[in-house]
Amino acid sequence: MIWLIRKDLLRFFADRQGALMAVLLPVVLASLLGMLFAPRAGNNTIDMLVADADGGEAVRKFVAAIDKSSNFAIERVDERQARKRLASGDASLALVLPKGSNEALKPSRMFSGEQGHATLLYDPSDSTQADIAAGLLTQLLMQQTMRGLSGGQSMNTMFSELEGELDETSSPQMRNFVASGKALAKQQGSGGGGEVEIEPPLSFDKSAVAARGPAAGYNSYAHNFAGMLLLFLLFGGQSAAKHLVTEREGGTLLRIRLAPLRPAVILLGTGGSAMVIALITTAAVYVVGMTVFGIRVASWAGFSLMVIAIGAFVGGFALLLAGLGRTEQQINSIGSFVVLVMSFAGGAMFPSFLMPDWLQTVSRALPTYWATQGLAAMTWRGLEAQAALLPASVLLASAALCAFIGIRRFTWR
Amino acid sequence: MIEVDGLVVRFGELRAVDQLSLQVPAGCLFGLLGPNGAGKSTTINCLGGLLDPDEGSLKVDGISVTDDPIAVRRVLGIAPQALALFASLTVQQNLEVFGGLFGLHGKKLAERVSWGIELSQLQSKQRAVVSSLSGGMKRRLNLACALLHDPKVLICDEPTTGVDPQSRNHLFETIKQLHAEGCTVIYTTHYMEEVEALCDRVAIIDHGRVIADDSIEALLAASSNRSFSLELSEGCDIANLERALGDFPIEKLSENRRSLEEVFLDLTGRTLRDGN
Repeated sequence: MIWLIRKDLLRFFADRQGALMAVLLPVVLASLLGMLFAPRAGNNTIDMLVADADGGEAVRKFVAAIDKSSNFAIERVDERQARKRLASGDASLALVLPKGSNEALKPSRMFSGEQGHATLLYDPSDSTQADIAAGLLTQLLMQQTMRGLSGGQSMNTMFSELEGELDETSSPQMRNFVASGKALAKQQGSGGGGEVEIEPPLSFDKSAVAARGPAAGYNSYAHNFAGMLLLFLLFGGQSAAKHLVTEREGGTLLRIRLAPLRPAVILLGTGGSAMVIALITTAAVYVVGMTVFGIRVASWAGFSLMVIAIGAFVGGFALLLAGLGRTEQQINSIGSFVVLVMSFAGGAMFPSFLMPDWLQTVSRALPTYWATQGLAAMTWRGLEAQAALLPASVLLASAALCAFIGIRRFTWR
Repeated sequence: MIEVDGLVVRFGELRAVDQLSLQVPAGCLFGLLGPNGAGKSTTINCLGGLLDPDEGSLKVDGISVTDDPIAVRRVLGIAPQALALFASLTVQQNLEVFGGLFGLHGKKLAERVSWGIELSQLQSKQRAVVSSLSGGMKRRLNLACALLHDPKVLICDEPTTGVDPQSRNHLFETIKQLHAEGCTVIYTTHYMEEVEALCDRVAIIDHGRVIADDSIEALLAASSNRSFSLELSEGCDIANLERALGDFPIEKLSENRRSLEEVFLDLTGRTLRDGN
């Protein structure tokens, strides 16, 4: 038994680089994940677009209060831009204050039972953030409104407005409340009397935004299918790299080299086979996703382009790993590390909004980010085919770069 | 058919092949011998275009290996020493893959695959995965895979390592048949009796150089310490042999030929070689 263990230990440590990576890489990965999910210190603002279609003073003050709040970082746009940017995934949240919002923001509306309505547009993959934002906005709105009632004159104005709105349908409680309030406002400059329900003058109605089309409407399976598919396609690329090393060690690669083919063609063939396997896997996974889980494709042309580009990237990734790792053990360590980091940071495993802002920025350099964005655009975001052009181009360029490095670094012995 | 002139291959400080020159005529069954690390595999790899020489030139069928390795590979078949087969594929699939890699397709590929199955005598195993075959079966298939594209030159690198006598005999017969059909064969092995049985001509390589290159008969004849056995008639006095040899009544005179192995050991020494 001891000799069996010793034999395997000797084999493990015979590949010193591989052994070192087997220890080092989990440490690096664990550190990275710990950093991702650690409680966030400092500024933790919600990025939000604000479309003010009213332009009234009260609305401007409310928007200024949002802007001043440490909870939000806002950008003023019009509603059309807001919808467009949300649909394309360029923004995840937008507050639309329609015409009439200024009137709705009058303090008297807190008691009148006539709430105005603002719309909180959100990316359907990011509904948690919309819930948090709605709560924070309501809090800000109430603070803003109550601050407006701090002087007796304002109270008097509010109760006068309420009195003007009384009619034969108004309840005795409301009539009593308004009369008491007016009297108190004259006497003390604060407070009202009687028991009347208070509610925020504006409600924030949430509305998920996707581009129009057959895929419009968020399907959580669509996001998860794309993410998990990517993860396992990359592991497939890792397997292809390991297979190439096994062929090299077993002698079949040498025999293939004796065929009348250029070395680069042989390696590209390996990348090509990884790509074809990725395409077959993708097709099979999406057939299940569509038939069982209701995933819909908005543009078949764009979707096909994305699938081909992702397949090409998997092929390039396989060659890169085969070039970087000299042994199967090294490919295992490097490959698992790279696949997991790219999947985490690229939004394949967790929605990117869970990541710190800096990481969301960094993730744009990762092919996995463009793969998830492109697949989202062509499925549940319901965008046109041209929305796949940029992600597909990034993926194809990444595939070419990975293949180039892999072929240059690959050793045949 | 094969011309190697002044070949030099260095691995760092080591000169694995050092000014090696060889000529293998068309249709010759040529034995290439040498201890481990002598430079045989390096020379074969250079012929296959897998290694770039530091100096010298190599030609196969008049084509320069360094200038056009792809064209050389079309006329060259190499059965490597390692069993270079896809273990999880069937016999037929292996033949199809290697035939396809050499540009065969369609009817021609199907014909050559059938030929390869017949050549390797694996008709009953054509749908069996290679991992399930015996060592001898794998060796036969290994050779068949090298011959699918009908090469003019075949290089067999220790083709009988670890095979049973029947498979060994089958491999011999196959190589003889190919030779009879005009194929030029380079045969490397450590079994000298195989070379004696098969080859027209032998080159012995050591320390990256050719130290002998001739027909087997000539190599044996050139070897020193030749000896003869005499069978004397009854009653003859052996003490008078030397004096009376001129008209002594010899009934049978035969030469005690030294074996090729002895010649090989004389030329390369008896010190153990474990390669580099």
